[in-house]
Amino acid sequence: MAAEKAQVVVIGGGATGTGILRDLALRGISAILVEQGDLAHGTSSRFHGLLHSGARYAVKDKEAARECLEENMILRRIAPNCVENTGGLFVQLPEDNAEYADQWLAACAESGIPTEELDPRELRRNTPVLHHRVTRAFIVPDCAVDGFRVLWSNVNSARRYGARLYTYHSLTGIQQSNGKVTGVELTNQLTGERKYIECEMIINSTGAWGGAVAALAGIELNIIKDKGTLVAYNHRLTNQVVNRLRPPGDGDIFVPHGTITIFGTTSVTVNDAACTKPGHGEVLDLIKIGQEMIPDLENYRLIRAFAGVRPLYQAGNTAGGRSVTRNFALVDHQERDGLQGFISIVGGKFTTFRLMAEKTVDLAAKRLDVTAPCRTAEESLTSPVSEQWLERGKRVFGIPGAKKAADRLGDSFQRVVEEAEKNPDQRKIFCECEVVSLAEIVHVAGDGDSFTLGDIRRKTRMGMGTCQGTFCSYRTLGALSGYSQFAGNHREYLTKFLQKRWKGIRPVLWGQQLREAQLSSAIYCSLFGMERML
Amino acid sequence: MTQENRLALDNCIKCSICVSHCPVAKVTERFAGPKQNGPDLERFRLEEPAAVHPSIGYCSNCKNCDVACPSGVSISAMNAKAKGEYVTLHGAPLRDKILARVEQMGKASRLAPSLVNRLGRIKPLRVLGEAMMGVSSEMTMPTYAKKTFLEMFQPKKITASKDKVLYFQGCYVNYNTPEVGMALAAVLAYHDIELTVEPFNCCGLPLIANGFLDVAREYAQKNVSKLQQYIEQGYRIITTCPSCNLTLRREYQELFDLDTSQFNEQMMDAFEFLNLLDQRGELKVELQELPKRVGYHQPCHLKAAGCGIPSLETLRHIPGLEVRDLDAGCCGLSGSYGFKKEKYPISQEIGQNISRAVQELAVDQVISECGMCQLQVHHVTGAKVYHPIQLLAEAYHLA
Repeated sequence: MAAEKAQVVVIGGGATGTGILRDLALRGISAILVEQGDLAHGTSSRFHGLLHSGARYAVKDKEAARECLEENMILRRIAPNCVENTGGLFVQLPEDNAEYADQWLAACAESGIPTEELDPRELRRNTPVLHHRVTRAFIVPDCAVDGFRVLWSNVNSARRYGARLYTYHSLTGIQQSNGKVTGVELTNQLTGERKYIECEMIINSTGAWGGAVAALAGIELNIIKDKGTLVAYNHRLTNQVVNRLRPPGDGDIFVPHGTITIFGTTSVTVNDAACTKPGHGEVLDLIKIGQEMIPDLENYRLIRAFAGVRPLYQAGNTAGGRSVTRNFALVDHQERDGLQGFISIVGGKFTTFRLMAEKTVDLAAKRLDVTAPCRTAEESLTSPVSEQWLERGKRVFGIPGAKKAADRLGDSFQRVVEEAEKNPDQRKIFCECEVVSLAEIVHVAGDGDSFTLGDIRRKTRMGMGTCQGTFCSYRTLGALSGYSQFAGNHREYLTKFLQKRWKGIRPVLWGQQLREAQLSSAIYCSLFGMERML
Repeated sequence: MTQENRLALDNCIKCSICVSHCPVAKVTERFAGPKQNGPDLERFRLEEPAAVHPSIGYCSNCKNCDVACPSGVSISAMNAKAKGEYVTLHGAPLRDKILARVEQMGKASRLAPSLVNRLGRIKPLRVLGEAMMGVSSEMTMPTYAKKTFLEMFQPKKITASKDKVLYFQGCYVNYNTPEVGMALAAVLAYHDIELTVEPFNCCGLPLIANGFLDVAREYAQKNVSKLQQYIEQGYRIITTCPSCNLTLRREYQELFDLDTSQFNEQMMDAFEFLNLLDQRGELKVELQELPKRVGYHQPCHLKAAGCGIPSLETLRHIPGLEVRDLDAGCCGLSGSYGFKKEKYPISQEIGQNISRAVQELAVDQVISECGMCQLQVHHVTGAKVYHPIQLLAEAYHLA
């Protein structure tokens, strides 16, 4: 078997890994990204989707706060279709420490984070769902960010410079000789095929899996795995991000995200990087805390819960949970462990992924004797869809359909619109909750990176709305039977897809979502007879 | 958005029963359906008020979605607001601006009603109207009466009137079928009940259905303040038009946030009022025998009001009369909807159910409470169509 070659193999297709891939490619370093599942398989899709202004960290860590603010502004500029500029609020309740507000204000000022105090009466008028007892409220430049889109934009940008991507490939071995990394062994998760890639360097950006990957190189790297549970509400409760103005804790962030609101988070240390099962108890705890800010919270409909594992790193390892720094650390294993060509990037947060990638690739470039500077903050990640194409899109998909598709598809939007213009059948909306057309689904299915219904879901939002895939999953599958990856056993595809949806629905199974689940099980178990099929 | 609306939005479980009951979605693909335009896109509108699908213009505002919904979602209100949003953003054709202003059309027709009627029957003129204005040349135009109801009605002081009753006659009765109002007046006078009338504004439904919510809101506010005064004096308000009734009682509150709780209880369909008399033993039940068979068409807005079919209860007292329910669903006209060139074929397709039912039941007379339904049933079947109150008046020898 002829081995594939690259200077650098990046392990882990999260925000950091895709950011590193792009940075490498832009500096002309040949690179391959390897991911065990789909992009954002780990924590990059399992967070609240908040692009921090830094205000949350201002009191505890001004450096981190400054970094957040800077990266926030960069991402808005280079990837406008991934960022929803909602603005954020920090609100204080009578039971919160009043002095903390002043301390926080001073810290924000010091970190350069602009704040503006809002009259509580005005807040009540604009955001009536918030508790009328709010004593002080401030506006900060928080945003909502779409993790999937950022990651795919990173990869697409990197590909334009020759970078390669292998999803659904897990790392099964690290080859080294004479204290130097020489290659990686991969196994295709879908086919079982093995692959070998020759390389000079491995960058371990696997988040919660960081320790496991280092272990393959015989190195010990201790990552604290901190599980956070979040919930998704059926609609936008507020139009701005809402933070509680007190030291960071559980259940203090609401993020409006397109059609939904994400609310979180909890914090509990776990052993397994793949421990992403949200618990019923955690959800109830969250709601209880959240009600202090939004009194009617328990009456709003939850569509699902989900959990992610924060990969926290503390050199020395004494702290745990919330007291561990949210900062990132670059571990140069050549210096630390004497293994050449192995770098780990650990800790950190989504907002600063680009900076983490920059620092990592600075080191990698130094080791590879590359002098090209980082360009990821200057070069646009995506080019915005032109007004003219947006107008054409509106005519075939309607206003919301076209706007959302333009944000999701970016550069491919034009092709999808053309297809829908030519073929009116393709204009049909398959996912009605999130307004995803057949044209978009077909486009994504044929992009070469979509192997499962879940992959299509992540790229289109198909199945992520109110009904959680009840209607769109069988429609989508029906339309895709011509594609080789969907030509097998339909029951299996549906079961896999729906079980993942149900994993998130089970912890919130009451009220309207319970009725929804009843409808869903009636359709799949009775109407389609899936329980009886072999 | 109010707390109730938010919760109602969350109630939608996407079962799509509203889509399967939508008469428009059944016959055309041009309409994305009540669910997509309503609760689906409403989630998007919380972020972006302009998130309206252009197909919203195809909603006929029949409200069958509301009736079908098992989850209590105010689908039609969401659709009406969306249409308003769409018209605010993109404007509306002159045709819609004219068709929506039923009250002004009625007033203008007063100059020479019979001339207007004659012009409406001149085919070449209608063809021209279709080409220039987009008003279907096929659809039968409503006929304007020689005298309006308000001109014809002679208030009669009835000493010791059993009830204080105010009649919201609506534009169609006032300008087109004053005989309906006159029949009601006669029936009530026969029961020693004094009827009060008042020159109200149009209820606003045609404006709402065409997306002119701001104008409709002005009408609503004027009407509400007038009605409020009567309520304070202990009046009941009765209607013969189910659409006016529904608009006053429900739409004003749902669309314009007007407090109508005070008069909701006191406002009813004329037949609900007669049935109330019947319960009190005050309805005169010595009626002339009418040995005939008539079809009955239930207007969608009467169905949406959720009060059953009060007229059929009253008409049961008429000896010899056989009323057969057409049970054919929406007639398809939906006010100005079926007059629009691009919607006329849809409205006729929906109306096929009516002509089939009329044929099957072999009736040549049909009764229906809604003026526009009367027009469409006549248009698609050729049958003689009138309001049930006219039948009752006939049985009382009052016609």
